[in-house]
Amino acid sequence: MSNTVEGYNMEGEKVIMKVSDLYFRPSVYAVVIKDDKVLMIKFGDLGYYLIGGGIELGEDHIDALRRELLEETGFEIKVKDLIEVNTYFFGMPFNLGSSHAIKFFYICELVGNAKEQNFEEKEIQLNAKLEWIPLSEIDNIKITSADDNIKNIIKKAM
Amino acid sequence: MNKIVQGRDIDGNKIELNVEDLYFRPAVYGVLIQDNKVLMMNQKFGYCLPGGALDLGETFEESLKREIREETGYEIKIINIVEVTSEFFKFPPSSQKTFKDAHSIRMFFTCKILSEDKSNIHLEKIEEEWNIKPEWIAISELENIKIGDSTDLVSIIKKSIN
Repeated sequence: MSNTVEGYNMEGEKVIMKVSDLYFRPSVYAVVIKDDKVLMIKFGDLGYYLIGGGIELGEDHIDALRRELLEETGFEIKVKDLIEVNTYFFGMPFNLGSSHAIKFFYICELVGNAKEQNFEEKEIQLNAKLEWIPLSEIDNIKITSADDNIKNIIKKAM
Repeated sequence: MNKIVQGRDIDGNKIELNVEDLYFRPAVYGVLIQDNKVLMMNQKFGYCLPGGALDLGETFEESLKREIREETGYEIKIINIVEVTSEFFKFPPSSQKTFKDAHSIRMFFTCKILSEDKSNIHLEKIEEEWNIKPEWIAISELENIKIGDSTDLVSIIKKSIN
């Protein structure tokens, strides 16, 4: 295997990373679709991404998905089908180095009544906001870190 | 979060693990079914599925193709993801790989065989020690064999058939 891999940073710029600098970062995301709209998180001008985030050490990946969605949306969720897995090399923001991301995508439904949203400090700094995007607009939005495969995953979930 | 998680050792015994001692170990496994038989690896502790841990810098496709080639000599095509599990695992003492305990994130994929070349089989030292060998097991026999794995592989195999 070569000693470098090609990845992207949050801005979508190509980054060459040394394999020896990489660390595994498993993460889990939800595709929540309601009334022909998908729930996404907007990071200011950097673009949109699906809601979810990193799995913590010692945490079951489904528990991580529930925790992230509760923090970001204020809702409990019903976890449905696993639709995709992918690997991604990501130049992390906030000088967090180069991650070897393993991403899991689940179709989810929001249930019950909303509690308070609790974005993480880093998400607040990135001006994170939730937005319902009409499915017909998916091809026209900018995805953070040039991860356009997200659009295919949303379509697969439709 | 609790500082302790419930994990298992290779014999399937429950064991408490310290979260601080864990490291992420993403791993990929293939479910290959042909003529009502499933390809399994017979080893010291019982049967498991072919596959193994991802190397840093390697995509899951590269990793699964490499692992299955090295263990069985088959070239494969990945069809789809069946299941993902999170497990906390204590390695047996004979394993030299790491002294930390694993937070395993295991991905199970259905795959299809494209071709075979037994000369590509190349086992790791630990796999040789465990006398690991590929074997085709009839689906109807799955309930009668000893599974050497902390995950319910029989359910995953059945899920891949549907």
